[in-house]
Amino acid sequence: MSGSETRLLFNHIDEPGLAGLETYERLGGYRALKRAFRELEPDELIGSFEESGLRGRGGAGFSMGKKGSFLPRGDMQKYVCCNADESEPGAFKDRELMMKNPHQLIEGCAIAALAVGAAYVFIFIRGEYWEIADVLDRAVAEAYEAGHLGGDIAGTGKRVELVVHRGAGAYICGEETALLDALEGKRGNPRLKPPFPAIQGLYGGPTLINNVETLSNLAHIVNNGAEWFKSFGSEQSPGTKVVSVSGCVQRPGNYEIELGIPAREIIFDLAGGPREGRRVKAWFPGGSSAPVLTEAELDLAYTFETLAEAGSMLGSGSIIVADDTVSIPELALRTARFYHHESCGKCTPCREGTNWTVKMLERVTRGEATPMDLDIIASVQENIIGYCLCVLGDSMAMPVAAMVTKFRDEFEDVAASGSRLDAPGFRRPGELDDSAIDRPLTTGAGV
Amino acid sequence: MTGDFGQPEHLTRPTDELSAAERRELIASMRPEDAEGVPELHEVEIPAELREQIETAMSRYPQLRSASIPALWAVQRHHGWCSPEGIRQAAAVMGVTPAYLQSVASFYDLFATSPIGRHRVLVCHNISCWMNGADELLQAFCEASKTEIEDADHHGATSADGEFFVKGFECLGACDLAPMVSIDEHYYGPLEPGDALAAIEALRAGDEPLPEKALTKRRAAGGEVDRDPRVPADPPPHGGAEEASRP
Amino acid sequence: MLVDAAKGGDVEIPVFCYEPKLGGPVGACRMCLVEVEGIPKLQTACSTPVRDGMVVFTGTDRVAEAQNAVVEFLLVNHPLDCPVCDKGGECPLQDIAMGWGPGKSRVTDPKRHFRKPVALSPLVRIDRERCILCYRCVRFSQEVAEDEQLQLLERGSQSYVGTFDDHPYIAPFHGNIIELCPVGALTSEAYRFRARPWDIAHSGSSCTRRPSQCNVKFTVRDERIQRVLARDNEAVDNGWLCDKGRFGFQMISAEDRVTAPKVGGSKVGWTAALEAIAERLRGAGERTAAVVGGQSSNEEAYLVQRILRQALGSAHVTSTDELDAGALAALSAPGLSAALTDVDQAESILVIGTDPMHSMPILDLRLRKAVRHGGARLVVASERPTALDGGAEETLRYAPGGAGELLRALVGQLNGGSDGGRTGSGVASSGTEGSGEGRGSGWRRGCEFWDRRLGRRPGVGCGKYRRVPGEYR
Repeated sequence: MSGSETRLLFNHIDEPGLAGLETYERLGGYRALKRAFRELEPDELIGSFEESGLRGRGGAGFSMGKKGSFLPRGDMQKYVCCNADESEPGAFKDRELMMKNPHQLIEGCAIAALAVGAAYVFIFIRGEYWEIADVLDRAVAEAYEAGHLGGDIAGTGKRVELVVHRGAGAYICGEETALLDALEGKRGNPRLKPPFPAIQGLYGGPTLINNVETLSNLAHIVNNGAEWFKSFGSEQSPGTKVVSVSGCVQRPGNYEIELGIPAREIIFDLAGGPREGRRVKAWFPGGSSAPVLTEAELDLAYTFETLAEAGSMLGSGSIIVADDTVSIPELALRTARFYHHESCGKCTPCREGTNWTVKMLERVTRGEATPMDLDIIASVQENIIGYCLCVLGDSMAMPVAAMVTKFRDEFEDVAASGSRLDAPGFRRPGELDDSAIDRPLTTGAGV
Repeated sequence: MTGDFGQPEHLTRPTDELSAAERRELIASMRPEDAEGVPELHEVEIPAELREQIETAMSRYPQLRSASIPALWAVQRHHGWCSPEGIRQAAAVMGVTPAYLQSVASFYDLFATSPIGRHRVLVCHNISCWMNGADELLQAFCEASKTEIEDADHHGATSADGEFFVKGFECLGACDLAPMVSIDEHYYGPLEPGDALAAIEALRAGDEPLPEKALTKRRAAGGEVDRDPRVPADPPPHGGAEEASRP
Repeated sequence: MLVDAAKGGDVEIPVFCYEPKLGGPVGACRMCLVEVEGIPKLQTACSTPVRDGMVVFTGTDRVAEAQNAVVEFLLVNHPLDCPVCDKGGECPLQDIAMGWGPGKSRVTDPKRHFRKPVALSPLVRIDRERCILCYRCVRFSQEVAEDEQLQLLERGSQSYVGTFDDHPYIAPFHGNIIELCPVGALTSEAYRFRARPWDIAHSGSSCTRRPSQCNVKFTVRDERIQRVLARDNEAVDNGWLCDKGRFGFQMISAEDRVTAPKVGGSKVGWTAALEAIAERLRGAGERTAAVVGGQSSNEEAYLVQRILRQALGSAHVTSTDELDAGALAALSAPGLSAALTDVDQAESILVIGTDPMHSMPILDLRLRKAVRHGGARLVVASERPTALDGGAEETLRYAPGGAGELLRALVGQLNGGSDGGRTGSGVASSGTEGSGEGRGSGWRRGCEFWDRRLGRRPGVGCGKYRRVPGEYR
């Protein structure tokens, strides 16, 4: 393993016509589907996925096979949802997978449906991916025509219907229960868990929800087996991972790697590193929801475990690099603004916490704040983490808290750069002491 | 926001500002007929094409409320925005209240709840694009199309001539094209500020803007990569014995 | 749930969005976070079911920090309106902020603003800045009254409660949102600035406008009724009131209320008035007719028929009921009488010849609850459309006066079914649309009748009341 790609899902990615059925089948496509539907039992499939160690590629990293095994057996209406809502800043791997190789995903979806006994698959694709959804629509139509979807798959009489459902622009719909609500035609608000979607999901029925990349792996596992899959990657994270690298790098893009290689190799060898003469100041290892790491941590192995130990996370596998021209307080503000814009508003800490944090960070970047304000910002992030209905609140609070902590000096410099605060009598929050309550009101100054 | 749909001022003015007589008039003006329940199909004029699109969408899902978003997309394509009229039409077809559909429409970023310019220019201003000059790009688009930049940055603004809608948008999932824009549902990037004027002029002329910067032309960043030995080689071409034995 | 169990043990866990009358827990406000042994994250007590051996901490520092945090967040954008807010003094937000809040504000940034207050309906004003987005009012509109007119609009901290296109929220039960609202965001127009909680006295009573006799609480100040609140009675009203009951009290002291008889436009004494009436009635004699309405008491009805039959010798007295005396007597048999609570447990419900929305509104809510939460199957048989049609599995329409025929046909079916063609002949059901069955002359008569009345294109509308299948009505 070195600073080079291991292309499994990206194999043939730029082959002309790959998005069409003919080329896909010529290169071996849909063999797995035929074999699975004709010869394999659902339990065999789930067992194989569990054995392979495939972990969710959407951010949670939970064992795909285990998740599938949670769905109850038996004759009832079950569903598979493919989470193609990819809206995490810095993530664009699913886009390339779907646009250039849609059949790989479709095949995986059908196999997943067979494995859990679902008759319906919904691909929930974010509304902004208009072009990609068009490609997907065409591919789905081709698959139906060829008998790979519909009422009689591969001549077995088994039925799987696939619906491509376009979203309409909300990051929160990437959260699995919010996705279900959006699919049911409501506002995309997350739900209480428990009950978990595997038991009570779409329309109240058992539902398997997986990311695009996760499902795209299934046909390969069926074709080549769980053991083969484990020959890639590491023991705890077999298989490959498509990593999106962007920001201050010379060759931004998607790179398929095996987990375990150092982050430095991804950022510098594959993506070209920052421009000539610039250094890495901070980098998000897992999209903007991951607490930032610094230049000192570039040699960490890029795995779920190592990054978690370092106080961050791998998430969806999207690296954003900030070089030394980037102002961290401004970066914090941009990050906070995103989450404030995307907060669904259902739970109090996220709705008000993101709002308040943005207001304070705006004041900081304008230079009208004090170290006390920075303490309040940090405290507010603490008050968000762990109290919200879903992880969006945490997704803002953790990176902002990390930035304020790791780059405190820069924050203090920027915050104090304004001059309004030196006016006489101006009281800063926290400077009002309780004894003022008993003092007579005639002083008039600054109360 | 309140009053955006052109409701009479008196229905949305703070009531404390009204005189007693005006208040009585306001209350008298609220008639039961004005309450918006589920519109009856025969009460609403619905363009046949729109109705067909919505009914097709309804038939694809196990439960018809799931067709809310597809129905709103159909309304927006038909009317240019999710107008009250359009929402009422969709509500009649689906058998739900217009309030319900408006609630859904106002939640999502891509549904316009007030009229917007014909060409939709969404300029990403999220982290990666910002680090690569998104602010300047947004400024360039606003200048080229004569749109207010303050409004464009926050909730989108329409140009003075009504032709362009420019909005600073959240991450569009194309950070490898930073800084990038989405113009009329297609992605273009990486752009320089000068590209903005070229794009606007192309749109005015009815041409495709910036074809050489379209997403569809972009190849994988890693270029050509040798096949890893563990990845199976391509199967033999059709006509092999194994393939022939399968029906 | 833990919240309810805690009350039983005399422990109070503060809540905002939790309201069992509205259905299941939402877990949105995060006020009820508690620590459960064995679970690392704090849990919302409103959504955590009680389990044997569970150990829950409600008073630890960790829980107090969470409660302080949530209150602080709620007050970030909440306007300091208490001095001018009707809710002050009886406000859960005030109480919870005092009991579980941090006590000091750290906010120095501007709050978000809305135009306020705005008339949401003729009877309710909405102040969106005060709203803490607990969702109780929109849940009421969706899941209890099912009018779905009140919705949440926009997203995030810009969310607000509103209607379609700012139309007024006109629905027969919407007054309940005033009581549901835990802050002063939804206030009664009639009670605006009338009293503070320490000025008033409460007096329990029942509403006399409908047969249901919903339990109410009068708010009295200066010996005048200022407002009517619900006095929760499971067996009767479930804690809801219809708008007539809630706002009708204003007529008691209305200026234009008739308090003395008038003859020919001028006030006269009672004796003179009664003399005048008697003279005219005597003049008409047996040509007098009387129709006694359903809101009359039994005593009044008895006296009317006595006047007509005995004093005037006229036989023309009737009530608005469509059923004949025999059927009515049979239906009133004690063994057949059901209580309102029986509706909650019913498996199937048949509504005949009435629209509960008009005759007993609180029953309409109860029926909706039975269908939505109890899984009851609803069939509505009436001559005109009812508010319940949307949720009914079958709707049967008959021409005016055809209730008797329907019941006879029904009895025939239940007694063996072979009625030689009489079954279903005058009646048509929505469930058999398209088939030849049941589309008899009665159907056509019924449809034509209503098409003419409502000015609709013929053949359209009647019987086509669409049921939205699946989970929502």
